[in-house]
Amino acid sequence: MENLKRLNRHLYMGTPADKEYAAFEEKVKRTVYIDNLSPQVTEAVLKTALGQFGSVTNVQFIPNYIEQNNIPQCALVEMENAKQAKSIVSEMGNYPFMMSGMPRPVRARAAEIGMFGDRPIKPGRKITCRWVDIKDPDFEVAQKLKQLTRKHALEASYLVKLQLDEEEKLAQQQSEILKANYKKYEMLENLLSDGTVNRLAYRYNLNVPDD
Amino acid sequence: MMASSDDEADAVPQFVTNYHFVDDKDEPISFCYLPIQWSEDESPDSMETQIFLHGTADSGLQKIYKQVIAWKFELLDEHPEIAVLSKEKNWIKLQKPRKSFEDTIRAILITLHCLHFLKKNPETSGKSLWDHLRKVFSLYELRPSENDLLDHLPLINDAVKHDETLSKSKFLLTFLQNPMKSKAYNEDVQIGTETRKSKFIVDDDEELDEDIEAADEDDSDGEADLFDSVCSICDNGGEILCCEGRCLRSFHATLDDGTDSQCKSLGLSKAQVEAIQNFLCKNCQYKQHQCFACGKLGSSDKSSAAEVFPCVSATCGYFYHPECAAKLLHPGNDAEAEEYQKKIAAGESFTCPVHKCLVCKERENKEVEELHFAVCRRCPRAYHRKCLPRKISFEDLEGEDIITRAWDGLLPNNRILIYCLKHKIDRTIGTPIRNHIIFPNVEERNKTRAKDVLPGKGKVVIKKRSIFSEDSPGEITVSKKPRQVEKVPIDLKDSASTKKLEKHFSGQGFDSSEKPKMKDASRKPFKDSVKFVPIKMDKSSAADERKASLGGVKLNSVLNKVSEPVKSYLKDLPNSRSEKTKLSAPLTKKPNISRPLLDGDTKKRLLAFKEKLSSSITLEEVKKRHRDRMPSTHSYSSKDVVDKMTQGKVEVLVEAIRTALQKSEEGCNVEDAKAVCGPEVLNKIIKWRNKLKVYLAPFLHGMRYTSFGRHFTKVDKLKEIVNKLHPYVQNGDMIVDFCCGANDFSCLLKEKLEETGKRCSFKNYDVIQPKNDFSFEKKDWMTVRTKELPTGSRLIMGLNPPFGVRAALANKFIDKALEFRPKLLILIVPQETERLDKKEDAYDLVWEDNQKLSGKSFYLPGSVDINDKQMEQWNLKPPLLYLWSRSDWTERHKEIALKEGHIALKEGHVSTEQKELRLEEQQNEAELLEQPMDISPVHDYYGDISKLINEYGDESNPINDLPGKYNVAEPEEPGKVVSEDQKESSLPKHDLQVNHNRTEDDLEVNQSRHGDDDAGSSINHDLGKKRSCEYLKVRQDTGKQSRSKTKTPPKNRKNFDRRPQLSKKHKKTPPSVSSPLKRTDSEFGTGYGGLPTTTSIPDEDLDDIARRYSSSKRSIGTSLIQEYGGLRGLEEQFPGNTRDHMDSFSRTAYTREADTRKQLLRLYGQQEVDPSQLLRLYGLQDPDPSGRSGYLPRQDTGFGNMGSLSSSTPYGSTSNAPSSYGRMTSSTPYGSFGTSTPLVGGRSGIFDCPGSQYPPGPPRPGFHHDSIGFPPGPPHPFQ
Repeated sequence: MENLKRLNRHLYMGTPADKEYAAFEEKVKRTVYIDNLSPQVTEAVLKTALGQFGSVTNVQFIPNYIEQNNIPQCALVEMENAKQAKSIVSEMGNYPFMMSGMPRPVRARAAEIGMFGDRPIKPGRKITCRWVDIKDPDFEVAQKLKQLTRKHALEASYLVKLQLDEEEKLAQQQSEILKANYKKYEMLENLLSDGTVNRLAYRYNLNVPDD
Repeated sequence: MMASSDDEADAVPQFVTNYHFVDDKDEPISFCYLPIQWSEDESPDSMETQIFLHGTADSGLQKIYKQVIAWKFELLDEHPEIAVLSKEKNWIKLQKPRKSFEDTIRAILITLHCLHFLKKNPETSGKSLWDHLRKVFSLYELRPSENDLLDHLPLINDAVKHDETLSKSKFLLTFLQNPMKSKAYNEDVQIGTETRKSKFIVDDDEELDEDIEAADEDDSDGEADLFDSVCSICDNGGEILCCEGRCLRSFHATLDDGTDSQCKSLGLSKAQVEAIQNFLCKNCQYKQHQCFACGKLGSSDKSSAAEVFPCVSATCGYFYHPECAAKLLHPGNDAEAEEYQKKIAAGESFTCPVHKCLVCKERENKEVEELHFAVCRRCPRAYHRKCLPRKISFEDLEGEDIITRAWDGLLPNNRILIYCLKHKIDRTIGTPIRNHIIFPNVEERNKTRAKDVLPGKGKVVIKKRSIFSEDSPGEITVSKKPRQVEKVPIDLKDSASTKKLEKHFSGQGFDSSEKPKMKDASRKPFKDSVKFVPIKMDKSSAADERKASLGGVKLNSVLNKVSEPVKSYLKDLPNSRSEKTKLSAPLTKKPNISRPLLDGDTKKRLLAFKEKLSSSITLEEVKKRHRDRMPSTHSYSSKDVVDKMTQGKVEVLVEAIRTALQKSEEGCNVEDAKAVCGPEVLNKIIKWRNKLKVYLAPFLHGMRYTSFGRHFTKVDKLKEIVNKLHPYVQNGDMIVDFCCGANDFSCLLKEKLEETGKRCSFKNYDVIQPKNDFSFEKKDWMTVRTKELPTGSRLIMGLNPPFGVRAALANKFIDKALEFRPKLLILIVPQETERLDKKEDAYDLVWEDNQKLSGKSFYLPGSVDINDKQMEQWNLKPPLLYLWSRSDWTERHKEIALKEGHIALKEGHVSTEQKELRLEEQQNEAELLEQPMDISPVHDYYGDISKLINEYGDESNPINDLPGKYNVAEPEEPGKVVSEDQKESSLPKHDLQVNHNRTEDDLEVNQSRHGDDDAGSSINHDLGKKRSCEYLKVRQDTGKQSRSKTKTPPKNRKNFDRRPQLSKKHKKTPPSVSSPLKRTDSEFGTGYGGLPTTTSIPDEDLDDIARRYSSSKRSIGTSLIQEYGGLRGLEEQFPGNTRDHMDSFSRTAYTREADTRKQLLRLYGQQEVDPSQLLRLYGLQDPDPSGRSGYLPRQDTGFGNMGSLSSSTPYGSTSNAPSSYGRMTSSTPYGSFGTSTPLVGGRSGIFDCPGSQYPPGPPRPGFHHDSIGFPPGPPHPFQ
């Protein structure tokens, strides 16, 4: 009897779990996944920045447990409706959007269910576990899958490392360039600000446009 | 096809200028829609729509308005001549189109010019055609392209049929056969020519930049004008790499770059070039330079025994042995020469022989053509153009056995390049043999690892590079292979001559670019290769729409591929347990997700995969995409310009200027000083500084901005504006917001209109979709066509365009809006914006309000201050809000304005107020200011004061009838005191009066200078040219209770009144902190304030000053501000001024000021007083508000205060400057929307320079140890 009832509810998609899941899916549709965020970007920043495109209902940073601490962040930003979310994704794609003055633009993607750590269980999904005996033919398969997963994890982290190294180098280069440019700027600025230029201009009877 | 002769020249106009055509709906239309008449006897077909010609004829005297029925063109020698046939069957020739009409007829004009050029040079190639067209249409933003021709294919076809010469043109034939195909070629041409840096013809991107930046007219293309843009090896132009060192030279970096002249080049590969951050030629690297006189290498290391010394002249860069130089400078006079030699050897600066003409010993003069310098490329000799010996000629003179030795247009700065008679010219290459450059280490032909021993300057990158460049000729090997090349300056001579180039390629090192790659494959260091693409990688991620994250789709597919081998590997596993164990060995460790557990093969594979991905993204692609997707106004990047400003050049410039100044102040001949550093250098310095400032803006003002650097007008201000605008709107109008931002304006306006029963339509444009998309169209305003909107009489346009540097963007938006001829234009724009009554199609000002947007009128979406609140912007120089009406509607609009009280009626009112204000001014000193003179939105008398000052020169004694009227002024004060914060009715009312004043007065008196005057001011922070007003402020400020002297008690009160307001604004700022800020205002103020109002100053001086002020350029205020940082420098200059300035307001102060002013006058005898100097002087003398004794010692704290001020009020209060140029800047290193525009434009802002306080905010924790995030960068803001 109970089973029948449960079946009925499934059929009519009316279980609270279902509703929850549906709501969650809907939320996912209007959430944007943003990464390449500087560690300094805070919730407030995100809210106001993305506030241009719509109303931000929630901001959730995806915590970084595994990698080192100073890598870019990522966040899930929930908007009022899916249209706004889409527009953010497209705008970010079109123009470099920077947050907190960081020169690296942020990237935006439509969020996916898998990104949410706190997602509800998909209704109707049942996970069962069992032990696998060594002699079981499935054992090897399981073993391989296990190894493969680990290997993938390693590879992924290796790639991340490569990426980070490269970013490091780039940052290095860019900061060199910046320093050089800034030095030049300062030199020129000093020249102007301490009056040398103007005094010389006076000598030459020149009108130096000051602006 | 001559124009039919005219019967009576007077009655019938023959030429018309400033023309434009309209159709019967009064919309602009191109004349190509008229039937074209190819020959005399044709009679034009009748047309359905009527087309009318507008213009002026007979040198502007006669206005033309005629219906025209046909057109024709004639490809004359000089230019194509276009004529239209009037209804009366008279041909009228068209001269210059009206500026706003240019775009409409762009395509046809380009087509005609193309035909004209091809007729003149039928054999010409497409490339030279486009070069020519580009030159002709250099003022157009969009370069002429095939698309323009495509628009007129039938015309071209007909033209070919009608004209023999044209039919011979290969270009046309190919084009007509295959119009689309040649398009591709054209793009290549365009891209190719883009990358060419033509020497003095402005690079196209530069042009756009100039357009956007509204740069000044002198040497327009940033860098190239001052320094060599010619390769030092082959003396030819093209794509060159500048050395950052002292030599100031440039080279062709790769063989490719030097193909046109068979230049050996430096022999680097493209990849190497890209990897170089800071290129130093070998000479500068090893500090060994050749003496330009004798050619021998010598050490130039200042720290050790230097043998050669550089000439100190700003753009010279040549080194000399002391004896060589001395001998040349003092020929024949041994004793002198020896002495000079010693001087040079001791390190004294000297100017080399190149700076004096050999013949007449005079300096060069860049202005006068005859006195342009011709400098020899191989030895230190120079001549004036007029002094050039006959044998050094510009052309070959066969009969006299003279070969070309002189070329115009290669060297920048109006110089002529010559090879003097001392050098034999190798006939085969047309230049002397190119063995003049000796890099150190040439003798060691064994391509040593010299590069490995790089001195400190070498970056990590360079080291790696050496691994690759093993075989590529890093050094210039002295090769004597003659090449058959005629030396031709690129882009300069007729394209025909370039054809004479015969190219011989020696295979030497030609494939150097390929070698490294091969080595890549075979060698281990994959990682190194990765370095060459770092830039590309990251930029791509920004621009990549599809690949949203780590490669997206591609990643998946590649990963799949990657995992396949693994899968297959695993399949094999059952068969080979041993392998499995090998694999699983590392993996069976505890899953500590640490890294180095992958074996070498995997790593290699991964690296290769990564490499593949990253190489698929190129900088070119990114640039192109960026250019295509950005709205036209924002696609420019000044990176290339900035790259040319090498360290060496800057240093040299700096040194040169200082030396020159030193020389001139020590009493040397001005000519000598000019030889060291010519006048053009000064301008260049400023230009460079500005360019750098713009370029570095995001880093100078970093943290403030999120988002696209946009500024949105606050909603409450918008409401006010809506209230003021709606009376002018009629039923059925369309209101267009061409830059809607958050799109609040139209919604508010709609509500209001509905309330009043009007039904209108709306259209809002922007490039980014806002939250609220009411009537929104996502479109670049510049691309909107006239057809898309209704006729002008139904159009009202506005509101807040991006400002840009010096209002450049604002001007563009306005010009575009004017194309639609709206009946009303309501604008929020910076004060520098070109006024609409100055435009060709002049509009009339209905009213103007420079007060409404003072204070915090804008907010920065997405930028938060420390309290996580949205940042607001406070304008120091508040932008203007004004309403312009099309001339035919002015009457009606003015009526409405009068009715609404936006403008006032009476004339008399104006002058009375004016007089009252003047009186006020005068009364400052006098003790009669018993009345409650509140702060009064200073603006109202400020603006007038400025006028007053201007008028001072005219009137002898304006002071006369003032006293009586003073009281009248008073009653208004209280009303005006109301700060902006309190938006009560008093404000608008006061607005009215003010506006009226300003409007009328401005229109009458100050029209010409309005843009310059800072008529408006914010209550608290306006600096501008508030001269006496500032002075008042000062007194108010400084006139604290501690002041016992005369002063102006009322002012004191003002002070108090002001304080609370201030603190309101400075949210976190305790009132005391605000004083330094105030002080700064006042400091600036005094600079001006003091002068004109002191009665103790004799009249003549007053007039003098008045005149000076009136003639001084706009934004003296900002210049002050910029000099602000230099106040410290002032200390040094005026050490003695430790007077206590508490009583600066007393008569004694006045006299003191008069003294200093006189001192100034003496110093700066020129017409234009240098405001910055004044500022400094006055700044020094500024009384210390808090009663501390000496100002000087405090000066720093003043700044320090400001520094702390800013830190305590991070983004909020102080940093207004950046504001007004809100919106988007055109140039940032990313050439993107850029984060912070602000300062850039910052002409309006006080705190312009990085030296001044800036919203540093407390250094965020994450900031410093962050290696990945952006480094803290430039100092001041972040300390």
